[in-house]
Amino acid sequence: MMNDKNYIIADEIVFEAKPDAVPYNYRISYKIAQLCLIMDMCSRGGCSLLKLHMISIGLSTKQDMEILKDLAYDRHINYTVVRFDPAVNHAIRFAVADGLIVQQQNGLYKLNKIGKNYVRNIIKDKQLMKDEKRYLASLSTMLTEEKIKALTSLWRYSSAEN
Amino acid sequence: MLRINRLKIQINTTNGLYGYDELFTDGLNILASEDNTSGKSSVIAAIYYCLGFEEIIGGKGEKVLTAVYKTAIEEGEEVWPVVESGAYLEIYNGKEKITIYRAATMEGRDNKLITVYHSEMNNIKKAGILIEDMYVHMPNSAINVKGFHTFLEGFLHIELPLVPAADDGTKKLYLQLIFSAMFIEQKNGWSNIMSGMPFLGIRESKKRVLEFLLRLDTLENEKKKDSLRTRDSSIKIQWNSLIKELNILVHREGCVPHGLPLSPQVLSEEDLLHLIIKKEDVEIQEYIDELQGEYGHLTLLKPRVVDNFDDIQEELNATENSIESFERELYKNRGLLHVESISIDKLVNNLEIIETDIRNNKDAARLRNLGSELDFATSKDTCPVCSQPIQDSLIPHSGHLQVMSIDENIRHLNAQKEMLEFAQISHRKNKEKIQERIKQLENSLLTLRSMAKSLRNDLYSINENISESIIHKKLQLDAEMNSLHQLVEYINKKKQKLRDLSDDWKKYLEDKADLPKKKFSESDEDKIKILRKHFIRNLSQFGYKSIPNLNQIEISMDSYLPVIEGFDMKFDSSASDNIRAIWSFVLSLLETSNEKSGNHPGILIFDEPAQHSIVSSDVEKFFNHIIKFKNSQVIIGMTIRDSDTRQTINKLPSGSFNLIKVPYKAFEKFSTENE
Repeated sequence: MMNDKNYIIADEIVFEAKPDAVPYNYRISYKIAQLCLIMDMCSRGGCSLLKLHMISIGLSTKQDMEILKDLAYDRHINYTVVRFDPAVNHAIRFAVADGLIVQQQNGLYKLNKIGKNYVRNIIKDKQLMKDEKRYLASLSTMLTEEKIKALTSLWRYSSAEN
Repeated sequence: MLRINRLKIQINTTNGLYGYDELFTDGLNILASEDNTSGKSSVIAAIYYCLGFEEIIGGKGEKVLTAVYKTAIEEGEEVWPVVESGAYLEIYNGKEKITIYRAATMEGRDNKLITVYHSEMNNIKKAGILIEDMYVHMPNSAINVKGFHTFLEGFLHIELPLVPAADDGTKKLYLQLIFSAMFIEQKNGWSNIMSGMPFLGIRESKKRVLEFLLRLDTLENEKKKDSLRTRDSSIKIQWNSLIKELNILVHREGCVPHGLPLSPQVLSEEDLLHLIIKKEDVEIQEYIDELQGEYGHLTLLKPRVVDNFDDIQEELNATENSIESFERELYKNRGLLHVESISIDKLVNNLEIIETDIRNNKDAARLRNLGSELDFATSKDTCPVCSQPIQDSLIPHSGHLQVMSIDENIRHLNAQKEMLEFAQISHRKNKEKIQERIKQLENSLLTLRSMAKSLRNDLYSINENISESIIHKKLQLDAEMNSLHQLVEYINKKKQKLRDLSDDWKKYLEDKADLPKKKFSESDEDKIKILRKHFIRNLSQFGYKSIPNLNQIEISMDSYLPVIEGFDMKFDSSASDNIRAIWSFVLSLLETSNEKSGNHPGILIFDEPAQHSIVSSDVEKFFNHIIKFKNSQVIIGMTIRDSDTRQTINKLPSGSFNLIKVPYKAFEKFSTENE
């Protein structure tokens, strides 16, 4: 009897999940390197979490780059929403644990010795993160903590009703 | 054939000119030195070096040469620094003699440069001798006219085959590879059969060299196959471009071709007859005849408006109808064109994104490497806090989903990129097609509109006037007939071309069918049998004992190397028997080639063949066997360490070989008259 039933499919079907693609922006190595570069090129004496978020998002597309630059150079004030990416927080935590950056007493982050060494290596390689380096060099330290503070203070009035 | 006639090494030191000058003869030449000093190796290395074969020794340029060429010469207590050095080598191909000069150390002369004097060494300084400069070890020096090995190939009257290269292309078999089967170097050469062969990017180079030396038909077949392949692709390309051209021209006139063979095939006359061009479902010639009829009809018409009023009215209606339908189609096509353009834009955009993605992913991969060089835990997929494995992703992952590694991700993106590029190409093609159609429609509309205008003018004109539309139509018909005539003429011309190509194709197919089906021809099998016979006889003669029954040894039809029960013979051989096997194989190659007129140039060099203290009676047999050779030159470098070896050489029949003694110091000061 059993032999009559010649099933092509046996008792069970096994589905195997193929590995998922991860966008480069969500690679630990990439994000940590990006954040280290931001700290090295765009700040003096520490960098706030908010600033890291803003610049990191600002690097994602050409359009974002322009908008952020306009804000930094006071060209227009249409910069409304700051987007937060949990990946940035994640990456910061990894970087802190790996000993690349430290959080200072005043809450700002800065690179320590290993991190600085890492950034030096990245800058030495001309081909590595070419666009990011070019953009960050043009942004330089123009996006100051004051400007960010001024922007966040606006939120209190514009977003909070009653 | 190749013979080495004379070698002259010149070393200029601060104490004047030192050097070495020796003649070589046909048959056995024994280059003997009392002590194992570098003198003998310097002499043999100079032969390799002059021929540009120094890669067989291992290395390129003067670095394979001994110190005497580069640094200093010792003479007793004195040490003289080398100023300049180089070597002359006179070689003979059976007809003419040439002298080769290559410098080892010379200010202002590159060691890749080789000077060829078309004369004997004695006459090179005479006036009127043709001197040519060539080079070795440069890209393409094996195929370029100024490449020395190209010249040497011609000089030796051999034609090197094109063989499959490691990178899937074809390459010319290098002379260095061939000579590595004949020049057995003292260090690399004695570990295995042809072990001194340099790697030069040729697949299965040993096999190819053996095929060449024995002049097996398989190689000939390969060559034939290769030329057939080029013929095949050349015909296909010509055929395709012809068909493409025809199609474009035919469609430009609004015609459709029928029975056009898209790929090469043998065309009969009937096939060619069936190759016709149709316009509006009528054969083009018929269509032209119709136009001719219409034209004739028009001339019959009275050219005055009043006579044809009804006709004109009717025709105007018809024209306007077709204008309308053409416009509708035009409109539709413009819409399609727009859609295609949008999708192309989108794809271009997507491609840009993917390209930045790929670039950034590559950056990420390098950053990761940089990180692991600096010993970051995150770059090694471990958590820096708890040292547990983590995945290389910042996305909070759900469950046990695996993520791709960066390399996988890059491959994944590249695949996507390929897909998008493919889509882009097909959209571009569509766009071109639509644009072509739009152009056609616009042209037709233009003619129809001007026709309609003439018709209208006729309707509103004074009755007695000459009808404009009739004249207009006549002109139009005339123009159309002209261009169609041209097309027909053109097609007939191309038909002839197609016929020629079809003949070529037929010839190609015939040649292809003529290729032998079996891999080995009978003469090939014969040659390999003879090789085996010589090999086994030599083995037993030289005292090979590792395998009791020598008849078990076969020559593999795959590699043409000796095997025993399918395995490399080396595994069963003792160290000294391995040397005997190399002697036997190298000699039997020469014997087989001489017997069956193969491509062997008839020269062998053995440097220190008495390795692993082979008993001198076997060495003696080896020498005696070589002495019996005809039509060949064998140069053997030997160190005479003990009385045994000396006796061996003394026992050889005098006059049957050329003994060249290399003194304790090979390089003696040249007296001035020698200069």
